[in-house]
Amino acid sequence: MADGTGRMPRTGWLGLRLRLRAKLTLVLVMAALVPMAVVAAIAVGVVLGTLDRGLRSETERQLGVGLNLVLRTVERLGDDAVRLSTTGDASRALSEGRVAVVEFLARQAPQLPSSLVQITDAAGQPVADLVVGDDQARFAGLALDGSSDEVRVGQRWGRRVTFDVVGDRLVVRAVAPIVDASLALQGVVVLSVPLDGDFVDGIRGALGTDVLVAARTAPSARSTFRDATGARLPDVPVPTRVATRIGLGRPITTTQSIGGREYAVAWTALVDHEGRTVGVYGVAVDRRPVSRAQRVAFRSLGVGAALALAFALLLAAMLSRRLGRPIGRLHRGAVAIARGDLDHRIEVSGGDEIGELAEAFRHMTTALKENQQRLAARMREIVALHDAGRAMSSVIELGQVTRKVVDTVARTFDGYLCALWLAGGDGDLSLAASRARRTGRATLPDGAEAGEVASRLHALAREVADTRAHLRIVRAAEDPRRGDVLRGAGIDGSVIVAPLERKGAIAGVLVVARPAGERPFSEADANLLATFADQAAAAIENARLYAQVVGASEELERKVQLRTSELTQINLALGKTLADLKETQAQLILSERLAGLGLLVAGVAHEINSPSAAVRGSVEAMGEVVLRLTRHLDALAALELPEARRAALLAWIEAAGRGLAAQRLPTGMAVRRSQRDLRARLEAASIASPLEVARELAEIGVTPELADELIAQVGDGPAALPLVAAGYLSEHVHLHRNVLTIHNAIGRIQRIVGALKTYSHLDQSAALVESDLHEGIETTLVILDYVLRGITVSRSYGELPRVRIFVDELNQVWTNLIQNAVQALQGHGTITIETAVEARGNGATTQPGVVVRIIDDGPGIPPEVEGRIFEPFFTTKAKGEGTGLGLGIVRRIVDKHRGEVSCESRPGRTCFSVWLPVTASAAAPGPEVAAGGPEEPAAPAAAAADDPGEVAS
Amino acid sequence: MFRRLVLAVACAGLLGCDVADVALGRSAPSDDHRIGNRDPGTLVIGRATDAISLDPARVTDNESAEVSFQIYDTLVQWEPGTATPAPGLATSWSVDPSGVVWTFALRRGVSFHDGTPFDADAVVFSLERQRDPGHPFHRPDFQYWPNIYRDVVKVEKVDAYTVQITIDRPYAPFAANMAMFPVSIVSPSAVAQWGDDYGEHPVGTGPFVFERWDRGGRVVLRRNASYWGGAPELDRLVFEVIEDPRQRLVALESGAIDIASAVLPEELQFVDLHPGLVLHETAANNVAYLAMNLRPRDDGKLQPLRDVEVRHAISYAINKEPIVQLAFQGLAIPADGPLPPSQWGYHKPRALYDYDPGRARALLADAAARGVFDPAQELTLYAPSAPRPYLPSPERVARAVQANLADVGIRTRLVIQPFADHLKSLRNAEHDLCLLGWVGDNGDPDNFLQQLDPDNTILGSAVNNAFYSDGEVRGLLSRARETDDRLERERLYARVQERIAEDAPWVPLAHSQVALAARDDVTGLILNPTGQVLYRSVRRVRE
Repeated sequence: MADGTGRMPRTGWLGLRLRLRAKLTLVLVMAALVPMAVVAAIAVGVVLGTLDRGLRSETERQLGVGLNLVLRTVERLGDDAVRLSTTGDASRALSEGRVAVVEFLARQAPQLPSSLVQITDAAGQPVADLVVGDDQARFAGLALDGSSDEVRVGQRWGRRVTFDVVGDRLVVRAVAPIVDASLALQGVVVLSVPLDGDFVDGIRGALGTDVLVAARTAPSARSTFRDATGARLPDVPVPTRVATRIGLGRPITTTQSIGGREYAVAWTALVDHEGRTVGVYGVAVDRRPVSRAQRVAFRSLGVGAALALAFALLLAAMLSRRLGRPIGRLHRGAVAIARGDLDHRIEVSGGDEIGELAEAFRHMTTALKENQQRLAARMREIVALHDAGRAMSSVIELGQVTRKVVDTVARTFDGYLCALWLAGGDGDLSLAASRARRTGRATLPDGAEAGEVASRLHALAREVADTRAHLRIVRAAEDPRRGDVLRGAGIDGSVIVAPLERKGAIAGVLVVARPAGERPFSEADANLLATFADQAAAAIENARLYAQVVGASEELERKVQLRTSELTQINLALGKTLADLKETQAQLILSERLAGLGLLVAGVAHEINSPSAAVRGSVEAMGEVVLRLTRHLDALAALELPEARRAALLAWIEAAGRGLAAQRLPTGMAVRRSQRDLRARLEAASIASPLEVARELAEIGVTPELADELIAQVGDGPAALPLVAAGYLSEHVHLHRNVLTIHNAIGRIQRIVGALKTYSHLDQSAALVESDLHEGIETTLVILDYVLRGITVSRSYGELPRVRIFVDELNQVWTNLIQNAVQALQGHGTITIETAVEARGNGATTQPGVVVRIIDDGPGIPPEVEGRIFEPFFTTKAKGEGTGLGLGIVRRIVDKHRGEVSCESRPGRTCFSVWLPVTASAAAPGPEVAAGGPEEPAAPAAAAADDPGEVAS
Repeated sequence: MFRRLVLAVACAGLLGCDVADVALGRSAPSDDHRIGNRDPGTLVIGRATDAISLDPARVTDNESAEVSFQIYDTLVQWEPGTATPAPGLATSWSVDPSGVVWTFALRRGVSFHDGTPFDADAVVFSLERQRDPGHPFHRPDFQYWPNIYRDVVKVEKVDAYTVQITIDRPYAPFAANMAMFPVSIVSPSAVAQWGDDYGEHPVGTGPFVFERWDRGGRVVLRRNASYWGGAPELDRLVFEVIEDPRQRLVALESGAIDIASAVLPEELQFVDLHPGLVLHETAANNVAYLAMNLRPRDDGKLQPLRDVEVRHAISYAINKEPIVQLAFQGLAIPADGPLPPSQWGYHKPRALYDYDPGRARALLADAAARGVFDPAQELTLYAPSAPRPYLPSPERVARAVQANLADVGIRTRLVIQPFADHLKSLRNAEHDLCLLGWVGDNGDPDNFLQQLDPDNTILGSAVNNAFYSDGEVRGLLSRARETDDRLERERLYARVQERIAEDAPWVPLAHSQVALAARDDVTGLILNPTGQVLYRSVRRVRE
């Protein structure tokens, strides 16, 4: 408030009053003058505009009426011409000759307007003229000759009335044909009237305003203007604007000075029958009445404005004075209050708003004073509370807090006894602290102990705890209900009992008492104690919480120790379980491999079984063949033959037999055909028993050429020789066939054993070997040959580099994938195996690699299981058909190669892709030295055993 | 405080200016010096007589038709300013190969002024009430139908927006007939509501809505803002009766009306010279002619008119120019055939007969020598006594014709009778020569040319009062009626007109015109050659 006084403007009252009055005056003058000025402006505008427009409008109206009058006059001239031409006498007069016509015209003259009348004959030759009226000069030079346009119109039976220009004179011409009853042309009548002063005088008479008329080409207009003596004024010049713009549209209005006076003149065009502007026509209206009215309007407005200004100034001065003075007084009062002088009185009388303002001002100062006093008292209490709070929060242990509370209360409230009860868990109050104090003369009666006195006040504390409202007893001796209790405790003065509340529950009760001689507690004291009680409750709560925290942390420590030992035991158990699990998983994997091995063994056994059966069959057959050979040899030996020839025959037979054995056996049909052919040849060579010989030879597929060779060998020998030679040849062929069969079977067995060896790679199972993927795939196909029956295997191999792999593990991959495909195909279909070089990666870091795709055209994998097929133990096969580990193992093995396996499937095409990376050294061509790099995966055996998690990953 | 004051003053200033402007602006527009300050959205048409009824089925007069034409639409309309049929309430139409079943596809989304939707039912109602004597809203005084539409057999609804009309013989001009005002489409609900008083409460779909009718005084129409063909420019259209033609012109001059119809020929001069008035002349779509009776008679008298050379002589003898200039007072053009030049199908024939009395005399001398013409024989020349729209002063024309014929040596006797008697005599072929004319109804050439159709020569009802009976003309007309191909029809009609010109059964005299005077601020006025005035595009503007 002291600051506020300092910042008040130090302007004197006089200065303020002047400014206020000046502004007020200005506002009031403006308020009066602005609307007045606006209204005046509008009024002037309206008056002037209306007058001007009125004049123009009037002039143009006159113009319109005048124009109609002109046209009516013109039209009447046309009517006159028609009437003259259709008068029966006209055609008769014309037929009678010139004299008759002149007479006819003379007869008609009284009915004709002042004009020049001309009559021509049918050929257009003038017959008679007549000027109606006495002003011959007026019509001089207007007569038309027979070749004029107007006469020609008449000759074509046309009627016309129009404006014509003769020199700079404007003339009205009316033409009409004169015909007889059969419409035959007799002549033409033409009436001409000049549009001059005389003509327009007639219009003026009807119109009441002056009229002007001029030919289009004329610089000035004939008019009806006359001076004071009645003499015609000279022609009025046509304004340039009118001369150039007339006929372009609306009438034109000009202001012109004619004969020393201002006129508003409206002009319009006169057009002929073809719409050409041939002249102008104007009507002039005197501007004097309008000018006069305008002057009067200006003068009235001027006087009015001056009067209004004077009145406004006077009014403004009075009003500002009346308003300014009391406001000045209020200003003085406000300045005084701002200074802190709350006792300043403002004297303003009157019942108006300013009087009410002054009254309000007075109320304001009184209220300010009271508030100031109340504020000081509150200030003191706040300081006391602040101190008490600080005292209480300086300690934390509950006993200390309670003592601090009673000490502080006793001191702050100037009491001779203060006691604090605290509520227990069951709501019972127990005395926590009490304090007796000497105040002035008074001590507790009988020098009683504070605790003892306090304990007698328990009932009072109980009551307050139950009602939860503080209790103030002004004089203990006079209280009817609690007087006994208090007196029993020896308390005779004033008492306040206040509850301590914390979170809606009673935390305790605080009692303070003053002796009878001291000032009794006021309600403000009670309120203060209540506030203090809240603080005390908070402090006690804090102390209690502190105690709880200490207790709790000890308990926690104990529990942590206990838990730690439990956890250790559980950990041990878990470790054991984990080991069990690992073992189980290893067993499972092993059993899967065993299952594979079982399949393998079954396949191998099957494969070996048939060739060995073939060998046994061949060996048995060979016994018989050898026996028969021996017999044929004996028969051959018995025949009479030179030794050299026999040896040559035997050599030929052995050679031919080996050759025939390598050929395919002929079919029955071929045998029969060949037999006929051979028989014919044999018979031709006179060979004995041709039929038998031919049968033997045909059955072993002897060609005619070979037969000719045989004939050459045996042709000239003994008669039995051909048959014996043929039998010997036949047995030879059988012998060689059996040998071939055995050879093939053994070869097959060797291939299977070799494949098995390659497949298992027993000798190098734990090392990465650079190898050809195709080799592994082919080996697998050989081993699985027995399950591939009925299935077409199609290969689409790309050029692959050698890849560093665990050969036997990858073979298991191919086995599993091919087996999967076989199972999907259920005995028939196609498996396609594609290989290709394929780099994978994301942009910058592509990794070279190869991909193997095993594709079947089976029904496909249902979409709902497609995402799960690589999970271990997942299977769609019937129980016992598969372990569900197959694809899981595939995935694990491929992962171990840092490769990727994926599957896409739809009905008709299921494709498993195995992508394997090619490391730089592996991709390099040429022989490879196996070397472990940093990227080399861990040894497979160790990985499988130590890290079962990988199977499930 | 001060700033606020300045603002207040500024506002007051602006307001003041506004007020001043308004005050100045409202003080009478200086450029309008007419009597009264009429709303520029209203167009007043002054005309000689009032409408008779606004039920299009009941009337034949022009005044009723003119108002009907604004209130109603027809299925077919004329292209503005032409006599070419164009889509109206029907968006398209077609005729089946037999030429008798006409199918009209109706415009959708159109409503009558009373809100009744326009559809096939409304069309069937509007036509059937005229055709079917058993229809609850049929009245015996329906005038047009029995004449023009008697060939309609039935009118049927195909679906909500398709109507089929069956006629009794192939007739190509039928579409044009559907553009005439008697077949305006009326609101069935309004007819049902008002019954016999419907003529005073007309409800159509047209560009203007009926508002008020003070019998004998004014018909007031207001703008149909939702007109399907685009709302009119005008807010109101007033037809005011001012009987005296001179008074009509005075009213026009003073600005009390905007258009004066039927301006007298003698007033044309005045309109021509008035800078604020504009004359609109248009063909009245009619023809006036002198017909020669070719019907063979058995009374033994010579029949010179049956000789084509005599007819040619008569054609050369008639001087049309003075007739046009004096009998029609210049408000006509000389005719060279039955069709006015504004009518589609008009063809200027090769055989033209310019006034040449010398040649006429020579031809007659030749005819006399051949014994087919006797100069002593007197022929009758029939003419009506009262003026007709196409023949304003029949007696005067008759006398001129008589004089022209006398000039070349043909004696004639005038027979002038009241119109009804005149017609009766003509239908009974009592005449040798006669004066008559025709007003085109539907904008189709057939309407004019059927007057020379041999089929119309039945005694007692003959429209072909020349009793001209040429087989080729009959064939050509019949073919033209049966094709819908406009070009083909034009070709056929050209041949008809050539043939007629050669045979000269008529001396075509004149096609009269109508003149309408308007103030120069009236723009967008369209006059159809068929006689209708389109007010839809009219605006009143000051240029």
